[in-house]
Amino acid sequence: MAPIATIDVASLERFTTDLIQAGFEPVDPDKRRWSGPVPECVQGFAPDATAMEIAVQDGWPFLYPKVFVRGARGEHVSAWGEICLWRAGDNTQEWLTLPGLYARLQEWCDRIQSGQGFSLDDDILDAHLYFQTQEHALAVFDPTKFTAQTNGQFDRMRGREKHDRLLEIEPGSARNGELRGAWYFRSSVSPPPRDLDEFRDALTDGQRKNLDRGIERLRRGNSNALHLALLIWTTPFGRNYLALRLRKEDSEVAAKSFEVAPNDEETLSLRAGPSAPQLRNKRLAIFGAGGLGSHTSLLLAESGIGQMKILDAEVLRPGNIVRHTAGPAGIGHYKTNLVADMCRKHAPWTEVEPILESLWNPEELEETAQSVDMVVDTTGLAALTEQLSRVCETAKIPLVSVALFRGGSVARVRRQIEGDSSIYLRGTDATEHPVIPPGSDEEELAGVEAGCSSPVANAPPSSVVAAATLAVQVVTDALLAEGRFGEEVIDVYKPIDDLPFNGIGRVPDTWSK
Amino acid sequence: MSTLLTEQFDAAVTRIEVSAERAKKIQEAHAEVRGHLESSKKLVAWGVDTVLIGSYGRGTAIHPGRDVDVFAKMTLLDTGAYPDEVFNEVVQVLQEKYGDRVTPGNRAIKVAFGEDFIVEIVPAVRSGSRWAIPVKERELWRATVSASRWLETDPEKLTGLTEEMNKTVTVNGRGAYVPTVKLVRQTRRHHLGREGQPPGFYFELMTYWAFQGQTRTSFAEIFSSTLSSIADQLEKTGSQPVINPSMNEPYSPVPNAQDLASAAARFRDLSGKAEKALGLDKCPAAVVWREILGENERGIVFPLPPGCDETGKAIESVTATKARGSREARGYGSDRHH
Repeated sequence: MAPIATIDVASLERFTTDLIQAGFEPVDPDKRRWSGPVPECVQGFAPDATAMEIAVQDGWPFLYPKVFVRGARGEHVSAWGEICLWRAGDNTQEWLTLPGLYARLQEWCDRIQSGQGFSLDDDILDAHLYFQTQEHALAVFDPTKFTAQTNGQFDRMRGREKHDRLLEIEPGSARNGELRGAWYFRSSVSPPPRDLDEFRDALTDGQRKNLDRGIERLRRGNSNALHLALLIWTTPFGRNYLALRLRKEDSEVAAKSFEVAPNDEETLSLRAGPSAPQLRNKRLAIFGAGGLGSHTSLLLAESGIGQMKILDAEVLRPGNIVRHTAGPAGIGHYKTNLVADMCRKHAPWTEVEPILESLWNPEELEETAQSVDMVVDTTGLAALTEQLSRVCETAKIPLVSVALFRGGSVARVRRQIEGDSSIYLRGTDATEHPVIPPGSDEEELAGVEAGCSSPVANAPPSSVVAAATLAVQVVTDALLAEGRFGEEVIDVYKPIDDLPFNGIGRVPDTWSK
Repeated sequence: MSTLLTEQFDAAVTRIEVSAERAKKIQEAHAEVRGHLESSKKLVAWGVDTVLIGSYGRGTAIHPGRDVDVFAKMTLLDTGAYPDEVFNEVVQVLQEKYGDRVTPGNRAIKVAFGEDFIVEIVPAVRSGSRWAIPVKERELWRATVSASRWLETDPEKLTGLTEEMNKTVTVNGRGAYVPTVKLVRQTRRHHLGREGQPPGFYFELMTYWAFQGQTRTSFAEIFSSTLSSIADQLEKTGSQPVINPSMNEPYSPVPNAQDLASAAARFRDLSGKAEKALGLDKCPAAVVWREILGENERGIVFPLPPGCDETGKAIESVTATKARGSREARGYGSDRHH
C-alpha cells in the first residue's frame, strides 16, 4: 500500500485531526486505517466490539471513508462488519468531518432501531454482501419463474455455469452438465444469513431436511448432491434472494454467495426511461439499417417500442462496422437481420421483423406505412425520402426522416405529422427552414465502395450516433404527442461557413435569412 | 504581515498530544502500581506515597508517550536510610505482582505494560524540604556519607513551576507554555531523533527559560521566538549551562559538546525558517511549519490550511464546510456495489 492519494490534503488532515481528538490512532504505516472507540449508538449492534475502524480511501474527499465494526449486525452491515453508510458516487461529503460521519452513523442507528430501515429506496438484492464468503460471480435468473407463495415451500433448481463469473439458474431438475440445486421460500428472513449455519436456521424443518440431505450427499460425493441453494423471502420492498454455491472442501461443505442479477423483463427495462411503458404499444417501420438506421433502431427498441419493421437490402461490409451497431461477426450478413438480432438481445420486449428488401413500389410502401404508427426514414436517400413523404401524407401516417450533411457536420431531423408541412415541399424556400447548402465532394465523401456509384458519406461515428439520438427524441416526442420539437430540427456538430450553420448547437426554429 | 495560522497550530498540538484514552490508561496503570506498593507493610510503614512526575506529571508528554515516570516517595524516611534497602523492597513488591515484566535499572524499576508504555518507578526519601533518589553508582549505596548515597531532586516543584508558567502566558485564554513545550519536544524528536541528544527534558528546561518575559500573543510568534531562544541557549551552554529551575542548579549530566553543537546548528536553522514563516502568506508559511514540526506516527504534524497544497501553492478549495447537494437527488451512478 501507499499513502492515501488525494487532491485535497488539507481536508484529509482536518479529518484525521478530528479522529485523533476522538481517540483514534492509525493502525497501518500509511495511515489509511484508524482505530478508535465504538460510538454508543453502535454498541447495541455490536456488543462484543472493542473498537471501530475507519478506513480512508484513495480519492478522498470524493470517496467516502469506510466504517467497520467487527461483529456488528444489522441492515447495511456486511459479513465483515462494514457499515455501509453511503452509496458509490454520493457527493454530499457528509464525511468531511468526524461529527458529520457520526451524524450519519446516528441516523443509521436510529432508523434501524425504529424499524424504518436505513433508506426507503434501499436496494434489496444485497444479501450476498452479508454472507461471510463470496463467489464473486453473478447468479442470473428470472424471478417470475420462481413463483413460490407459501411459507416453507421448496423445490428443485438447476444451474448452468456459463463462465467463471456467470451462473444461470432456473427451477427444474438438473440435466446433463448442469448443477443440481434447490430453492426455498420463506415469508420473512431477517437479517440475511451470514453463513451456512444461519442459512439452515432460516429454513423450516422440512426445508432444512431437504438441504441437509443434499449437503450430506455432497459430503459423501454422491451423484445427486446439492451444489446450489437459493433462499427467497419477502421484504416490504420486494423479494430478496440469497444464492449459494456449495462445494466439498476436504471433508466439509463450504458455501459461498453469489451476487444475484434478475433478468426478467421488468429488470431489463428498468433503465429504458420513463416513457417506455407508453411506447410499448407503438409500431414503427424503419427504413435503412446502415449506420444511422442501426443506432436509431436499437435506441428505439431500448426506449420501449413494442414492434418494429426494419427494411434494408444490403449486407454488412467490413467498412460499415465503425459506424454500425454490428461487429465483425456480422460481415456478409443482411444488415436488417443483424439489427433485428441486436434489438432482440437488448430489448426482448420488442418484436422485430427484418424485411430484406429496399421498397420503392409505392403500393408496398403504403401498405407498410398503414401497418404501423409511424415511419422512420434513416436512408439518407433524398429520392426515397420524397416518395415516403408523399406516401405517408396520403396514408396519413406520421413520418420522421433523419440525415447527415456536410461530412457529418450537420444533422437534420424532419417530421411530418398532422399540422406539419409536407417534407417533399420543403427545402426550396429558405424563409421557412434553413437550407443546408452542399459542400465540396472532398468534404462530403470519404470514398466509394462497390455498387453502382456508391459514395461513402464522410460522417464520423460520433455524428451518426448523435443524429440517431436526435431522431429517437423526435420520434418519441411525436409518438407521445409531447410537442417539444418543431417539424425541423437541425443540429450543428461542427461549424461550416454558411449561415446559420456557422456555430455549434441547435439552429433556431425561427431562423430566417 | 504576520501569518498566524492559529487554527493549524491548535490542530498541530492536538496531533502531538497523548490521546485521552492513553492518558486514562496511564492513570489506571499508576493507580495499579500504587495499589501494589501499598500492599507492602514495609513500604506502608515507610509512608509510601506515589505521584506521576516527568512529562506526564507536568502534562508535557507527547505522542506516543511510552515513558511514564512515577515518584515513589517514602515520606517517613530520610537520607539516613540506605538506597539498597528501599530499592530492593520496591523491586520485590513489584516482581511479586508483575513477574518478568519488571526490569530493575540503576536506580529506577521499569514495569512494562505490553507494547503500550513502560512505567518507571524511582524510590525517593526526604531530604530537608526536597526529596532524594538513589545515586546511579550502586557501589555508593552503602556509603557512610548520606550525600554520597542520595541525589537531591524536586520534580514536584517543577510541576508547580510548569503550572504557574502556563497561567502566566496565554493565547486566546489558553495556557501557552505547555503546548509550546510539546511543540518543542516534537521538533526535537523529529530533527534529532527519539534517542537524540540533548534529551527532551533538556529542551523543556530551555523552553522554560525562553518563556521568561514572553509577551507575544500567538502560537506562531511564541514558537518562533522560543526556537530562537533555544538556539541561543544551545550555542551558549558551554559558558552558560541550562539551569533546572526546580533545583536552581545546572542540568546534569551536561550534554556532550558535539551533540550540543549539532543541535545548536539545527535549531538555529529552524529558528531562521520560523522567523521567515511569520512574514509569508498562509500556504508557503504552512509548508515551513510542516518542515519544522515534522511528523509522528499519526502523520505530518502541522495540517495544511484549506485552499493550500503541499507545495505551498494556493488552490481552489475542493471541499465546502457544509454538506453539498441533496442526499435524495442522487446522480445516475446509484449502483449497489460498495
